[in-house]
Amino acid sequence: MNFERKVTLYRVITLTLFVLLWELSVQLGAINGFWISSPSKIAVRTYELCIDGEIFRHTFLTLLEAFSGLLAGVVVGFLLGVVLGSSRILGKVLEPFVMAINSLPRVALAPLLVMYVGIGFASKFLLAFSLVVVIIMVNTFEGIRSVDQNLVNAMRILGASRVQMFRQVLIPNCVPWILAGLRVSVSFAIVGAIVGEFISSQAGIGYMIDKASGAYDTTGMMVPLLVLMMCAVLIDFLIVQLSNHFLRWRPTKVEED
Amino acid sequence: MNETLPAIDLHQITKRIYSKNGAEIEILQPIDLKVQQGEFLALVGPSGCGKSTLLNICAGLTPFTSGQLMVAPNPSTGAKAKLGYMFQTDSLLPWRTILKNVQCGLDFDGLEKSLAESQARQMIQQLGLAGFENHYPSELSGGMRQRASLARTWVTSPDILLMDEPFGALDSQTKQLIQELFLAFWEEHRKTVVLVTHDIDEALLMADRVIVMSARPGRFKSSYQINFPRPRVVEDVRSRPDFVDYRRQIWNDLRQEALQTMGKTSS
Repeated sequence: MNFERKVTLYRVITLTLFVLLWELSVQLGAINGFWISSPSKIAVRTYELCIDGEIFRHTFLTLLEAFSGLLAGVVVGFLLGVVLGSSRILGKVLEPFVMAINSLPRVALAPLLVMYVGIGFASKFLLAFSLVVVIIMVNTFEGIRSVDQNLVNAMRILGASRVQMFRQVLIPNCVPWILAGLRVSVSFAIVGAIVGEFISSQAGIGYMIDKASGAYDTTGMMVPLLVLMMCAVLIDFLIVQLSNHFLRWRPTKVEED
Repeated sequence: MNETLPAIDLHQITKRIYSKNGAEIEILQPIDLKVQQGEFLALVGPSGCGKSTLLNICAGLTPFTSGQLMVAPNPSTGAKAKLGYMFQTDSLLPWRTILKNVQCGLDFDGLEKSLAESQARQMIQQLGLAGFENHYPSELSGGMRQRASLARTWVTSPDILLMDEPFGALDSQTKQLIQELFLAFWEEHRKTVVLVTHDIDEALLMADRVIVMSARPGRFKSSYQINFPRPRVVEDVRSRPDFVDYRRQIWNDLRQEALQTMGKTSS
């Protein structure tokens, strides 16, 4: 059996053992099910929520908030990064401010955003956006700055114009940085949407969790978490595939984990 | 158009930079140099002597402090001279295939795509890289990458070739093969070449004139006219008695300078 297959097998075994141990410890009364629910209860509840469609409605809303924020954050962050990276003086002037914003835990902005735009869609969107935009901006900026000066000189001698230099040297040099940033950004965007929902909302995964928490319903909190986790894993997988396609010129692949 | 106009004419070129603590460092003392049309010139010198800086000044990549730099237009067309530059690293774009890399100079010149591609393919074939057109640089060996880099430079048919230790990073066998390839190509086309190297053999094998530079601040210490007949065959040239004499003389010149550089860094 080759290495890859062994890894897959051991993963399945690990997951099975974990679920079994969880179920048994509740069934045998080792740990009170009130605190940790149980896989069987979660399965039943998930099935019920799928039948009445509730879970899809909430998941869809949360993902919509997260992804609209992500998309806007990527576009704006990329443009800002390009502007910062292409002007030496501007980049240098703004660097400490960018670092200051970057080190601020931006979920702390949530109450302020709610005050500005209310408790609707906009506050979740903006929170996801604010978490993503800085990451993408910093990565694009670094991607442009880290370009091999030999490449720039070689292209200049070969007669590249400013636009050609940008399109064929600087932007491609950013792609690995942006993709790495994108991978982190997905989970940040979801964090933004969920935190926004925690603060105040009428629907979404964060709302489901919050409501279940108020009712001491552990199972009701676990189900949306599970769904969210599966969505995040799927999206991460897609980004890795995308990375390997765009970075096929690199000697090594992007790891899936 | 004056036929005798040198391809590159440096007049009293100097270069100074300032270190972090504000001290002035003299990189190049006033330098006068005329490189004739079709001449193969080699610059040798100890590391840090400013030979690469001088080359970068010729290429317009580095500003100089004072003096005059003239690069003559192409003598037959009168158009601005086209430069080619070979770096020690291959400086290929890692995200483009070999074909696209070789093609890129032609694309920048605004050549029609299909024409650019067929010229690039032909050059790739000439350099023995046929079959690797659609590979990425990371999939090729160092020697193959450097050949691709040569192809990229040659395909634009530059009037003046500036080379900064282009074979320095290769293993000795690959190096000799590529040197032979380059020599044959040069003897066919006779473009003006300025080659910066620390390898005395390489300079003697290829160049018409070898200039030895002093340790920093760089200036010309000695100059040798090398009149070995062309076309040159690497192994034949190496076994000439005057090759050995030149080699010894140049090494003697260099030795003092290299010792001085070492003394400076250890003190």
